[in-house]
Amino acid sequence: MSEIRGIIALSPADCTSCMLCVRQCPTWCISLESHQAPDPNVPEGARERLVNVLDEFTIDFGKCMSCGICVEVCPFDALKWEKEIDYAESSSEGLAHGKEKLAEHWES
Amino acid sequence: MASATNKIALTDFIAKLEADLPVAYTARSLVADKIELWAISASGETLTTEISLNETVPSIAGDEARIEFWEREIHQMFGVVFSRPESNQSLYKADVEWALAKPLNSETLLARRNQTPWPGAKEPGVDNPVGKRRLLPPGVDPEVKTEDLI
Repeated sequence: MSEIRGIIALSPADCTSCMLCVRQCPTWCISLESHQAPDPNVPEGARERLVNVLDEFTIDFGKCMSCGICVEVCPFDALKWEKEIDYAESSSEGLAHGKEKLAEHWES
Repeated sequence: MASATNKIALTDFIAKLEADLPVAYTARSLVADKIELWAISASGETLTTEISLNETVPSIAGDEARIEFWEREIHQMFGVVFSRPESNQSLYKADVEWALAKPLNSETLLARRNQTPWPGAKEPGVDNPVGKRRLLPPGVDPEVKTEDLI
């Protein structure tokens, strides 16, 4: 309980589009778009395998209540709390952070 | 909620709080008709108890207006019935429609929530999935017409 709940960061490489965070969020502030595509990493001669590819991942921080359920429930640790607290915007649309912006918040 | 809670029986919960009037008293809606009452006693102990909505909860308000306020809030938001009739009024008596709505109860359907598309309904690659098992969040029932809800 010693982490600072500033903003939520995403690691898109770890996200498998399992939809757990989207479904568990109590305020429905997370939206996720994805599609299925053949896995480029199958070994030689193996049969084709489909994987989920993340297209869009948006957290609307205007609706987020900082409960942390999404961070807790992610099985791949793709979501993380970060210390950033100065993310005020002049419009409510600006509070919806997409995949790229969420990845920028991530500090290793 | 708090990390060190003490889940006890309703009678013990009331007895402890009567002796040690709470500084905070609220509730949380669990599945079906189960409600968890949550309070912090004056000595700083966090207490919780689980009740079902058909139980009458003994009132600890007595002469304290602040505790009556909390009990009325719990009554209005969750539908919990207290033993004291003054505690079984909603906070805003003029707001008749919302007084019956029990909005924080997880079983309650609210019109705006029921008609908002749920982002969790999507599956990877499929726009409108039709599966044998339909996923629904709490507080949404597609069988109920939105005009009938508040």
